[in-house]
Amino acid sequence: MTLVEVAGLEVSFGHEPPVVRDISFTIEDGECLALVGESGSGKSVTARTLLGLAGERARVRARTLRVGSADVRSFSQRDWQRLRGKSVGMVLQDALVSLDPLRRIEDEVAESIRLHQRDSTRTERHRRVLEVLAEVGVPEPELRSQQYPHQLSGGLRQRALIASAVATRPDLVIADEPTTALDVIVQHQILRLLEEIKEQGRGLLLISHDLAVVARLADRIAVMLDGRIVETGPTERIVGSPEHPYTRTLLDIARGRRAQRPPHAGGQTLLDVDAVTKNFGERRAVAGVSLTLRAGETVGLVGESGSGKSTLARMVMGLTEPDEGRILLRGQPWSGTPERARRVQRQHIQLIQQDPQAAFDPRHTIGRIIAEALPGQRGARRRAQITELLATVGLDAHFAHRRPHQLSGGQRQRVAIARAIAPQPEVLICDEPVSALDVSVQAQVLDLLSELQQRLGIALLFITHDLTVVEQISDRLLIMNNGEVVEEGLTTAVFDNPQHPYTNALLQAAPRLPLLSATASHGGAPEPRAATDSYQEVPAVTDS
Amino acid sequence: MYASLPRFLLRRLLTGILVLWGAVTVTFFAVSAAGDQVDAILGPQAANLPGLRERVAAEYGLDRPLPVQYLDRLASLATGDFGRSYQRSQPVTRLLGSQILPTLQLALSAALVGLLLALIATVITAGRGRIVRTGTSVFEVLAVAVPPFWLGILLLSLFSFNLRWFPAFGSHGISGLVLPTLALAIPLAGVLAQVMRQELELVEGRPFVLSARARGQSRLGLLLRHTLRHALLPATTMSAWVLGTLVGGAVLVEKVFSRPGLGTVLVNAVQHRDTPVVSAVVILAALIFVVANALADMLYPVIDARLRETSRA
Repeated sequence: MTLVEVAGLEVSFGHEPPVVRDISFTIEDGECLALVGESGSGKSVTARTLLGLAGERARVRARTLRVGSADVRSFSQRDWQRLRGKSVGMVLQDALVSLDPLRRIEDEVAESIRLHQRDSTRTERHRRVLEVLAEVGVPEPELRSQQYPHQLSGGLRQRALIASAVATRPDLVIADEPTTALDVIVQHQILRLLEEIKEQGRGLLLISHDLAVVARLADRIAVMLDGRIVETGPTERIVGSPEHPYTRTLLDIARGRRAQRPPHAGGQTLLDVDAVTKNFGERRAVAGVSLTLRAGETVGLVGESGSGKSTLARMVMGLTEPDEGRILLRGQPWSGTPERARRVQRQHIQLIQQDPQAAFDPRHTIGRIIAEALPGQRGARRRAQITELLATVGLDAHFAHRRPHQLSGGQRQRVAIARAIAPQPEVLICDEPVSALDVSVQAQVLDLLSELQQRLGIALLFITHDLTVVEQISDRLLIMNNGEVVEEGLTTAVFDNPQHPYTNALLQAAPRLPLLSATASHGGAPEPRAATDSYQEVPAVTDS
Repeated sequence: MYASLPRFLLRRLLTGILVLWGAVTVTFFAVSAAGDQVDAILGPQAANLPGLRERVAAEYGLDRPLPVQYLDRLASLATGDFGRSYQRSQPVTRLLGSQILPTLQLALSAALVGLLLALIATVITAGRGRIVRTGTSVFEVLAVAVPPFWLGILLLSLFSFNLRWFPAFGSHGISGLVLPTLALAIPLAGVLAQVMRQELELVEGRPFVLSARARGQSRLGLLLRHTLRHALLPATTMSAWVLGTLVGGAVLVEKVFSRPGLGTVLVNAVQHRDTPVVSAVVILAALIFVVANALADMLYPVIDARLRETSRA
């Protein structure tokens, strides 16, 4: 049965050029179609148009637009309300903000039942809520249903959000970036859950910017660029022999190029972390972690939420004191020294964080933001330096007059990098610097960091939960779990021959394209998709 | 928010006492600096009998040095003795006790009506076009800018003198409460509506609203079950300020409508330099502020579960 039939869809807002142009696709029951593209490609707008949620100012035109068996072009608000949540369910990204924080999980999950089964009693609804929470894999549903979203971990929250979308057993589920805010292992589990939902016979429309994430789940892939679908077809064909150059670009990025890094001899030791421990009350956030960072090298620190990596980053930056152990910067004591003594040294160690928007004062211009890192300069000299720094990160001089909200995510992160290298540091701490960016933009920022490192000889401590990213940029790796370092070594060694079961779990859970050989993208014969090539059971190492 | 209710209350109690002490001190020294209190007691017509001033001063303890008077005042306040009114020769507590009820009635009903008007205005205008929102904004700003007593006079002349719908003075039950309540409630509604509508517009852009709409929730359902609760949060924060200013605004409105209450008492006391009464009313106002603030802070975690001290599983 055809669940969705779209032909010639065009969506525009006001008098601006259309955001979605001439899109056509179908979705059958039991199949998963993935819409893949970057931010601004129009994929989310397309998905929302299927629910009439594109926005007040949206003008929607199409030759055909059928959801279920209804022509939705002439739908009234009433018709839409009857469709939404009943035959179509939607899952958004980041359940922390996609669930009402002031309402209990039970109320959120039961909402669609309450709206579409008007004569259901409270007991019936409660029973159904527990049932569907169990179906999506939430342990202790009775307890969890009475809790609020912030009381659940990221993975559980996302499951609850999915539960709220499938409570009425809709035929079609639309998932818009459902795993973007999640850790690797949790992401894997959620994708598996979506696969189960598909196997129940529902249709699944999956929206993502990451081909690797959707490749195992999607039966067909449609690649979107600037509002158009540039290529569409079965997953095997798209991944094995892509035709459109943009598709090939996305595939290259998804595969992750093994960076051709010159073998690194390692210069003097710049950062020395010696058996540091940090406790918060009874909780051990960091337990006896040691690492060294030498000039010119990149050390990757990999861990999921709660692994202690952010706490470690804060201690390395001197923002928190370790309870045990010590940290040396350039051979000088760093931890345990008064801030006054440290302040002079701070120019040598800088930080780049995940969310550049939060790291900037929204009322400052870019020029002013960078100028903060150049305290001794004035006037023309300062302006010249700002221009030079912007050029170093690949931004034009006129960016100095813009404000953060006028820039894209990738551009903002470049500004953050410019600000960080302005005092000419020797050590750069990068805390999830590309996690909030589209895959293609990630690649650009990582390239920039690599290039800067080679040019300026900076040492990089790269903290992330994303294995694909860390593989591309780091010489050595440390894997953290529950506050401890469980494995460390050269990147290639860890990836090729992982020793610790947790490392194994991470590697298995990392979304990878089915075909890893480099020959495939040059037109080699695609491997037939093995029947068992869906989600393997990942050994449960963390509880999510 | 706080580790437990008892600790929270204890902290509030201590800071409350600090605030009250501050109020007492400032009032005491302000009144003392305002002029010779013996004159206030004697009144304008007092004959200048020899030795009268000294006797009066001695009787009221006004011949002692100022710091001593201050400490004495603190001591008696601590035991609940607010002294006697200079003007009426009654214990202050008895004087205030009879007058506080009408003021509280007025303040509370104004608070409720104000909140109700603000809610209605918010719900009607939420999510409407630019013209409706701008128009309502203008009304709200006007409502805030208009002084309550001016509004009171306007309401009085329109509804009492002209239309004769409501009595012009006195406190004859509910009908006597309507106009004074409106005079206070309208400016209040103006402020609350602005705050609530802004929060509402902010909240409506959040992803969870999209989730709710994707489940088929209607506009009204969204408001009642989701967004209004969020919009109430800033209103709750302001409620402490609201109650405090209402008590202050009641003063002027009571004058306009000739209602008995704390306002009238205070105005009279100030005019006649009746220090004990003035001090008592100031302390009472400070007390109301402190209690209202504490209540609002306790209400917040009730509305917003994220502020409750429950551990993450």
